[in-house]
Amino acid sequence: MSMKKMTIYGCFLVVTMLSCNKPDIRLDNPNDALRPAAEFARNNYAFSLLSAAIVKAGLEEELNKPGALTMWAPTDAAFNRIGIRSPADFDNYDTESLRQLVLNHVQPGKLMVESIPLGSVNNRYDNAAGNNSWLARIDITAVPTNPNRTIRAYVNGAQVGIDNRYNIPLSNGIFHEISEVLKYEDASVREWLEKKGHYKVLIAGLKHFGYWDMLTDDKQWTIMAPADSIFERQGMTVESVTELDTAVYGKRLFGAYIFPVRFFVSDLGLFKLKLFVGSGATVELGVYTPIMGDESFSNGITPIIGRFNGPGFFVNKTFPQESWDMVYTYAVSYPDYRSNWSRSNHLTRNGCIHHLDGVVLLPYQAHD
Amino acid sequence: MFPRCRTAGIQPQRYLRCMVIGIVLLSGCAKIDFKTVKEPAYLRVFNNLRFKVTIETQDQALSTLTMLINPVYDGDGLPVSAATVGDFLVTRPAYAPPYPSHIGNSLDKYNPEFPGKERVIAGPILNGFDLSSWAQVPSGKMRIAFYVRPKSEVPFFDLEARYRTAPLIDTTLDLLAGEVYTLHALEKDFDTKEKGVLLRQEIFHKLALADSLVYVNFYNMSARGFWQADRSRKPEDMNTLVKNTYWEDALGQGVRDEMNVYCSVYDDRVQRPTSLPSFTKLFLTHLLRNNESPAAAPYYSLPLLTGAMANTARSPFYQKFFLLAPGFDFRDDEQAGGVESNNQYAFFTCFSNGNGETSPGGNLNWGPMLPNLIVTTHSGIYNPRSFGTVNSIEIVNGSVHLITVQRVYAPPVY
Repeated sequence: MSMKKMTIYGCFLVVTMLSCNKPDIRLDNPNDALRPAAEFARNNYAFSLLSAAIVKAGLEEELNKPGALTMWAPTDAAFNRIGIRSPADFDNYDTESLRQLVLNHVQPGKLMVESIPLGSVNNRYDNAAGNNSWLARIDITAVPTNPNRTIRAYVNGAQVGIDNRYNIPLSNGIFHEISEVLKYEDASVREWLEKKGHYKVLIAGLKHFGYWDMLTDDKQWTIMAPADSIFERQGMTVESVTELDTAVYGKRLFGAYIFPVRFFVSDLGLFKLKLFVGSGATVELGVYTPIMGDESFSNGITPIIGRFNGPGFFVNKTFPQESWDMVYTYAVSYPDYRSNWSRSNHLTRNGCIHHLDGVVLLPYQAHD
Repeated sequence: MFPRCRTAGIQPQRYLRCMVIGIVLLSGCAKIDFKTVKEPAYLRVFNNLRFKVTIETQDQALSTLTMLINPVYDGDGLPVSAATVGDFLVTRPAYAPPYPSHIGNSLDKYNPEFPGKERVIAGPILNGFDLSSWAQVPSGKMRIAFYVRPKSEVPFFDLEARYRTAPLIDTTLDLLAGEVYTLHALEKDFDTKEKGVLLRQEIFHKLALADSLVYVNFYNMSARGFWQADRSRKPEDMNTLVKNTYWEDALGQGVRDEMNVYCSVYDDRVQRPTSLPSFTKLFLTHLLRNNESPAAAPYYSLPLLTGAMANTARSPFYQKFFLLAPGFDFRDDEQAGGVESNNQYAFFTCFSNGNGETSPGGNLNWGPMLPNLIVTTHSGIYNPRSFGTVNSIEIVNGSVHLITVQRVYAPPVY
């Protein structure tokens, strides 16, 4: 090889190498074909009713706008449980309340489920309707050392992503399936009960035993509410309740339905109160509070874990020392939370209302 | 064209080849700035906070922390950065191993200690002790703040402002160059919920400790009023590696402020658990509850006694510790502690890797389980070989924690 050729090759090689650039190759390019929120719901059979609600509320354009939002998306099954079976059922709603209903499920900002604080409830976020959403993420693994942990997230008591449909990317945010339609009404617990019309016996009892005026707006409450039909099955009517002599019948007869603190049923997965009774025996409880005005009795709920039928509601003597004294307890069970939590977690301005399937105390049991 | 080459007898082709190789090699060079800390102190931080969540306490402080050293605040008083950040500090587990194992052993961000999973300049080998679980931090006066944060994977500075308004603990510490420190964030009073820090200046690297013995010291850093409190107020998720409800009382309810510590050493080759005659319920120390004093406790030695067999130098011994209030006698190993003994008796066992295997003797009376104080691993030609370590056993309320520090030892020879 001649010297000249050599030099030319050498120069060529140097020049070639100098001109090399290193393109930043990304193998995990983001998907450009993502859909926006309303479009995603429209293209998914499981969310056809949500999509219909969005269209009827006139929010399609707004939810397709670029930006960052979090969509808590109730499935069709969730809508079915509140009586909405076809898009035509939305005709009963006026546009404004439907708009509120949809916007309650939209949260500004992109929130991954993993960003919800673990091991805590009542994490406040604002939603697009201007109300608060209360988020929770709970490790409900029964044995803490179990490596296969079960962690569940909830928004206003509705479970997020039952079938692992959560953290679904949208072009304008993120999409999570939820098990229930979020139930929020801008009313106080008293207004809510009055408005529904089928809690007349409960209201009469609360009024008669002096609880109605205590349910003020400045505090948060939880009401376990049996409907009139449930009271009447036990022979308790508005008339019979108002005739009871409050000097003879303990206030717990109706105080039992009130907790002076707000909680969603799902929160009970976090609260684990152990009650020590007798010699070394323990009872796991989710919530347990002395009844206001009748503190020698307490109302409580056993936790979700380990109970196939969900939490059980009971009244007993406060901190029984001798034995686990489930006196005056009726087996009142919630429906399985996977199939029907639609009757609990009604969020109002000053508390939460959960439907109760039974009467916890009969008048003779509160006779002092 | 290449006269000098020609005179030196180097072929021009070869010259060119060298040049090309040289260019290729040089173009691959990168300049690395090695970070150093001038006059460092060595710091390791633990979060000892463990709260019970009930419906009444649901809005109280959470137990996950962010540590900021020398934080920088914006105009609104919110921290925006810090010289050193220890984020995602969750409540410490039972065992703090002698090597920084956390960083390679998990997929989440939750850090059981600082530095733990943080990428920091690790401590050196100091007087033969491996300080790779300690971080190098600048010595001198520093402001240190702990903020309560929700347990999520959002970095502290990206959290909503409401989480960054009020530090749980905000204090100034003075670290001396070349000293080894462990810093504990803990609850000082169980009733008032007062929180604070305890900065301990370690002494193990300054002592003439034999490498043929196992050393251990004890601390009781429990909150004031913990053991007296009603058990319904005490957290139930103890740190014990094995959750054995039958023995929950062995420590879970806390111990009294003044306890005597005894130790028995057992041989795992014997079918029935028998302790060594000279290490049977041996009195070690008088332990006082103390979450104020930074002084290191004295170390006590236990036997290592490796028996050299074919290619092994394994010690078959494991330890069991007993805490007895003064005046409370040993009755029977089978007795549960806790409420039954009115917080006057507790015990825990250090066996194997603390994961709950039972010894050949089936010593069922374990109590909380911790790893063996003796580290046994493949080293040099011995597989396995046992090493003496330096340990601190810390009792925090109803939990017991073990920090093991080891010397550097030879890598395995295969």
